Amino acid sequence: MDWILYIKSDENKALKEIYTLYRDESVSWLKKQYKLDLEPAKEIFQVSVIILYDNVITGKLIELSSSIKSYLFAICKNKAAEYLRKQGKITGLDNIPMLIDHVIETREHKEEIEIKLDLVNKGMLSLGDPCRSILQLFYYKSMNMESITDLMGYKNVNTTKNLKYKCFVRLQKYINEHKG
Amino acid sequence: MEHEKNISLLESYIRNQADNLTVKQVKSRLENDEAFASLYQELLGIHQGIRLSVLDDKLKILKQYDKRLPASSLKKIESHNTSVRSMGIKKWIGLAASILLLAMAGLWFINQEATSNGATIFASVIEPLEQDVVSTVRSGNGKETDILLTPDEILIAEKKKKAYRLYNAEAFDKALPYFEDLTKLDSDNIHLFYKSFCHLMVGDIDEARQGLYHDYGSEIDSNDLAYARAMLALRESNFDKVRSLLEPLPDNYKRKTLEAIKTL
Repeated sequence: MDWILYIKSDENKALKEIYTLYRDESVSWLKKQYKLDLEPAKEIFQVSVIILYDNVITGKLIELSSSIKSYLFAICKNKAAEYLRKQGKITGLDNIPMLIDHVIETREHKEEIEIKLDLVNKGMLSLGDPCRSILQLFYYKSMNMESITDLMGYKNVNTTKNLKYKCFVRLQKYINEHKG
Repeated sequence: MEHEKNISLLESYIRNQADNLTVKQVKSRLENDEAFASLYQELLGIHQGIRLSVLDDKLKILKQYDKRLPASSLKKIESHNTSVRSMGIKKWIGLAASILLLAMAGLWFINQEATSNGATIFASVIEPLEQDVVSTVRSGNGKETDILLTPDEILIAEKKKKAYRLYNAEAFDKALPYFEDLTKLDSDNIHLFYKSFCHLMVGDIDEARQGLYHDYGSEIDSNDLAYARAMLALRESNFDKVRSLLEPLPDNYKRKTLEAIKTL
């Protein structure tokens, strides 16, 4: 099974399959290995599946040199170690600090960046569709305007371009209005 | 216009789509134009933030999916470590809960007119589903992509939002028509389960029985289903059945049941 291709071509189905296949084993292993409670163990496993997905989509993972299970367990291991290091520290950023840590590549001004990212995330939530989808497709999936136009069923590329710009400005406005 | 142009220029630079000359121009402006450099930093932050928003969406999808998976194996994992030390206590809690439950059930039937309080049993024990934040759409070539919503999906999402919001507010009679529509529009059996709850709460026992005894396979958590059926049996004054359905359930279900009945 080429998991990378599967994730790229049918991401939700692939992620659910990976989740179903390895949830119990991973959670049990995390609990035993790191003496974690069920909930944090499950949370770590969930975040690890998402990181696996992100690594595939952003091109960090092009080819698996081991099984998908080994790769996933390696992420779980890192995340569990990270969790234990930070245990007790309140991040104040809902339930996604582990994801934020994954997204931030630099260690400088980390807290400041964390707050900004959280703000963008909240802004994206407030935008709703189609803005949210357009921005995610353009900025995360790196899709071009033609593909987005096709996928969204818009009249032409100019319509999509205009809409994307308006959405961007709305997001920018939200960020400026809500930053401390 | 200038702002739009600058964004477009920086985006092509960030995406490595700019030609050599443009790259040179961008680099020079980044060094000499403070506003342009600041916009660049802002764009980088937005890039990362949007990435986070996608991952956060995916995490929500997985969490929601997790609720649909059989929880039994995880519960076994959870109980494995604590089973030895808590065995004795568990036995007593179970016994005490069963006795108390029957006593409370009797009380509940004496006060059957308090139907609005009865609603809290469901609202406080069975967690309602979070509505879908992101959906999946099939494009022209048959490929599934998440994030986007088709008109049908928008309709379903809207109805879900209303149905579960009303359910959370314990407005079961108002939630019912939305769940009725959802069971027709969406193949997800979870709506049937919640619709049946609502039927139970508004006193349509026959409808509730039909829905709660549907074969859900692994779509509904078996404990939640058993609990709901126990509540139906309670409404039908079938106390033996209430006891037999609740007995194998984890203690938290029993405790919550007792807490809910105590409020009646």
